[in-house]
Amino acid sequence: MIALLRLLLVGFVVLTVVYWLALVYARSVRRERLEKEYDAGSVDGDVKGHRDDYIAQGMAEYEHGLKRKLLWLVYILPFGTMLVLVWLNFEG
Amino acid sequence: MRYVKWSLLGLVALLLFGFLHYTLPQHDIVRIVGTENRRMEIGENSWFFAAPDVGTAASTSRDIFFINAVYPDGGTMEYRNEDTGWSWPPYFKMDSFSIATEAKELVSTKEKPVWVAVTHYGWRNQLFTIFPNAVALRQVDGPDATIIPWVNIVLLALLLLTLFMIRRMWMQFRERTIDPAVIDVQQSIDDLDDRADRFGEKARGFFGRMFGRR
Repeated sequence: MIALLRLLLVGFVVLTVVYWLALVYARSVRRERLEKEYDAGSVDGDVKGHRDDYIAQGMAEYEHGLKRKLLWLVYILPFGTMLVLVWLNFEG
Repeated sequence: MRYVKWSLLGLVALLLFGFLHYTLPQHDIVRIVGTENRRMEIGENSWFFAAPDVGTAASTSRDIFFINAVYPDGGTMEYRNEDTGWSWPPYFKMDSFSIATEAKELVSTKEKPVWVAVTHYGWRNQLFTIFPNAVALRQVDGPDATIIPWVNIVLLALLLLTLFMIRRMWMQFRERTIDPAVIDVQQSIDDLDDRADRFGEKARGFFGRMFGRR
């Protein structure tokens, strides 16, 4: 059982690093796109005010969106693969 | 310098290839001629043996299942059959006893061969007494049966995707974080330079007025 605990601990630490990197990257890409959208002047009239407000609102929408939630797959996919493999081993 | 660089890169590539070649699953089509269970004192070659069976105590000496097999061309191969458990490589194999039973069931003679696809990882090396670890056995029609290595295809594709994403992330980080910081630093150095120049001019003016020759 020590080996299982060690695997879970190491896995959690590694996946947390991956999750964090992916989150920083995704936010950065999102922010860049919002900036470019605003600078290209293709913004509708519903968001008046400054560039910063437009970007802040876009980022807030991202934080509550589906794509942000999909990042949890970083944890779910490896753990799910492990469960499937263990289960297949017990079946076979 | 160029030779050093290319040698180092070559060494890294070789290590990576070796690591993948050792760890990823491969398939052999063989005829199983027997199984045995032998006590091994594992010493210098312990890197190439997996963990003790799940739930059993660690020790340098343990019983290991072996599967003796013959290739269609007559070459011989010996597989070990060990649990990898919860440790590396992540096959999560815990059914070495079932695989030993399957292997016993699939034993066949030269006259009436039963061909078995053995999925394994690892290397056979007689110099260090190391054996590939059999992960799964499956009966196939004949020695020429085609096996598509799906696991390898998926894993190598994922590896390439990971490398690609690391590159993308690095480019994004450089574009959005490092370059602006460098520009900032350049800007402040320029400012400092300007100020120093202005101060220098002022000082020269002052000293010029005090001591300079007219």
